[in-house]
Amino acid sequence: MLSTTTQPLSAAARLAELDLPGTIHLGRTMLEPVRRLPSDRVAFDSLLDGGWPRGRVSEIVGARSSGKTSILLACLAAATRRGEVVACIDVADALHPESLQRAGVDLGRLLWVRPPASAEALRCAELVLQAGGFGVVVLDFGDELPRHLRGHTWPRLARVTEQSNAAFVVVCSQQICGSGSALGIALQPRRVRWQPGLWSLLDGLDVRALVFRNKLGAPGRALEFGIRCEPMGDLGSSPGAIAG
Amino acid sequence: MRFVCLYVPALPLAALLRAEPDLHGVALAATDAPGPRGHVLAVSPAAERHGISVGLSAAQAQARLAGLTLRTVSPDLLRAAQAALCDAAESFSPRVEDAGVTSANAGVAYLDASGLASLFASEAHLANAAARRAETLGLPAQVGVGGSKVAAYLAARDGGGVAVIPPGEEWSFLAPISIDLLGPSRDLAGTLRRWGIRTIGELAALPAAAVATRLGPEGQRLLALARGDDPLPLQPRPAPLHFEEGIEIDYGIETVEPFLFVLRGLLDRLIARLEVRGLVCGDLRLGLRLATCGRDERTVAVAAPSNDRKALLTLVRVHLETHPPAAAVEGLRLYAVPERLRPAQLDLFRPSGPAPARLATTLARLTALCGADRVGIPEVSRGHRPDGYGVGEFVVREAAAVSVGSFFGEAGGELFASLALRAFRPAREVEVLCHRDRPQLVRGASISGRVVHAAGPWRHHGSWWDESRYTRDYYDAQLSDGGVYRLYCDLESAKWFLEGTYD
Repeated sequence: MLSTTTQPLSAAARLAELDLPGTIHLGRTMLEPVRRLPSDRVAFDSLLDGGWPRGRVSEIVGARSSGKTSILLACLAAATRRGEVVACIDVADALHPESLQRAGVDLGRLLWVRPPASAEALRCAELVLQAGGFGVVVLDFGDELPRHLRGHTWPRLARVTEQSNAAFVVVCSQQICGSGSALGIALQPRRVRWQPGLWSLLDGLDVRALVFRNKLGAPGRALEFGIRCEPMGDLGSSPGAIAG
Repeated sequence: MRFVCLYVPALPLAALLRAEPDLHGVALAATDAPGPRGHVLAVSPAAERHGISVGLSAAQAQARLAGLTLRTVSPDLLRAAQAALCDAAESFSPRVEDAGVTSANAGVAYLDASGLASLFASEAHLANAAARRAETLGLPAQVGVGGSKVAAYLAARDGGGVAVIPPGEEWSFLAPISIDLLGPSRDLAGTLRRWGIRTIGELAALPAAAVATRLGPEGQRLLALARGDDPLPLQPRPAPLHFEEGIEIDYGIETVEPFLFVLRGLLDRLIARLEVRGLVCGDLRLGLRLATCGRDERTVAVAAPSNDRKALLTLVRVHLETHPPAAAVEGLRLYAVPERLRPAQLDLFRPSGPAPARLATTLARLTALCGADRVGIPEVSRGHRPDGYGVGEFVVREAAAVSVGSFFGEAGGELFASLALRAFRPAREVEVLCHRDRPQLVRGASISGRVVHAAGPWRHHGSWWDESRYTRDYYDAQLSDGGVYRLYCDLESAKWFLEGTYD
């Protein structure tokens, strides 16, 4: 108690010495509540403390076949269903339009940008965020790690994100945002499910999501869920089918 | 009927000052051609004080004043200034007559003021507003209001600022004005001077038949003008809108920055003209005259019509950086397609989305960074080719009704999402070892592993009617590295490829 009162007083005395009169207010800073973009499902939203935070950088980290793309598409689908315009900076050029459609994304409200390299991707992300009006902006590095990242990259993007009020989601195989992200989700593959039977079709993935960083709430929470595989177009409905 | 006349004295000089406002207050002479053989068309007051007058050659003018600034007035510049004057007039009434730049009445525009009484407190207010409107477009106009075009014109020329002739008082107003303002020929002016006739009133008092007998048709025309009779009724200029500005540059511009500096001036003037007409700028057309004597015509598409100078300049910059001209630019014409701004109806319950002007700029920049085929909306392939896809133009439309499908659901307390595929573009070629026609081992540049589990094959073939035909056997395979992949064997080439990974 003594230490909390001494610190401001000494600061006031120091200001008086410097002949800089001012007022020091004690108490809490009033923070504006962070708006969220819900994913429409209670369990996942409770893991995210209500949804993807707007005006903040979020990070999805996961290895190959960990379900990170499926979660990403679910996020885009929820946003477009609310009438938001969304953007995806697809560095790996890996977005599959048919998967997007099956996930429920309104393709007409998705700006798909495929930059030639990661350096251009960062510039593209900044341009889209500066344009404003986008509900979700995704920067998808896929399985490749971005090169030539500088120290000021993420603070700069975080500042632009705050001004744009979009939910900015970075997808990568490893953590790259550092303290620049407000929310970090790590996805770990648990099991690949195959249907029992003669042809044993792919049934889906079991995944564990862990909140490894949460500046807006409590980190460390985890959730296990399944990702269901659906027949993809003409393929996979039954083995041996001939189409085209 | 009442008429308003907008008159810009010394239009060539006004056109120059409109294009280069920095020349205000400088001893300036406008010439009709570059070099010493050009003739002076108009001079600024500072130059006039040093004895420079209209009609001198450029060499003579420079001999009288060494520090004289000479500028050549291009026809484009004159036409743009005259068009701007008409735009100022048309911002009050659609019935506007353009006197043209080639006639002796260059720098004159007439406006039918009938019916404007309810919009302005008095005709003086209307005249002042017209003068201010012309001033915003960079043209110092004198304004006259009268019962005929001639009366309004003479009031504008003689008044020096704003002059209104009250109805029925034309005679008393015009009588003391010199006949020189009617523009008689040199011979006729000499004859009238010998007769002792110096004012319009003295001329108008002469009997018409006697004037026609002694002075011929020109004298008759002059007498009609002196009596305030218009030779022709008001001839409104045609309806099509044409917004163009141009400039000739003394030296070739080779880099973007100086080009944009010149373009900014043209754009400012063009937008000012559009604004007084309540219009916005649509597509921009650039006509470049190149140093190689060639011409470069190009159109810069403006997705969202706007008068935002910064956004329009950015669009032009991105366009020029993507498609630079073949040589240095020595002349520039800028034409704006005028559009009416249609206010969008916002939805109370949906987000508004990106602002159209900023979105257009952003898309242009993204296209310059990534390429035109790499920015847009994803489209599912219309054919049956599994790796086919398309990229469409990104235009924000009304939100489509998307079915709340099975993409994300909760069943029995467990959360589900639809499994997505991450595509490899192009498909990665791998070596696959099979046992009894089943893949056992996959080996590639970045992905290798033993097949833990596999499903398939699914035969897929198509496009058998052309060169792009394909026949493939597809598999879903889980490898020992933990990844689940979609791979296929191309039966045409007997090679294996990884099409993507489930993620």
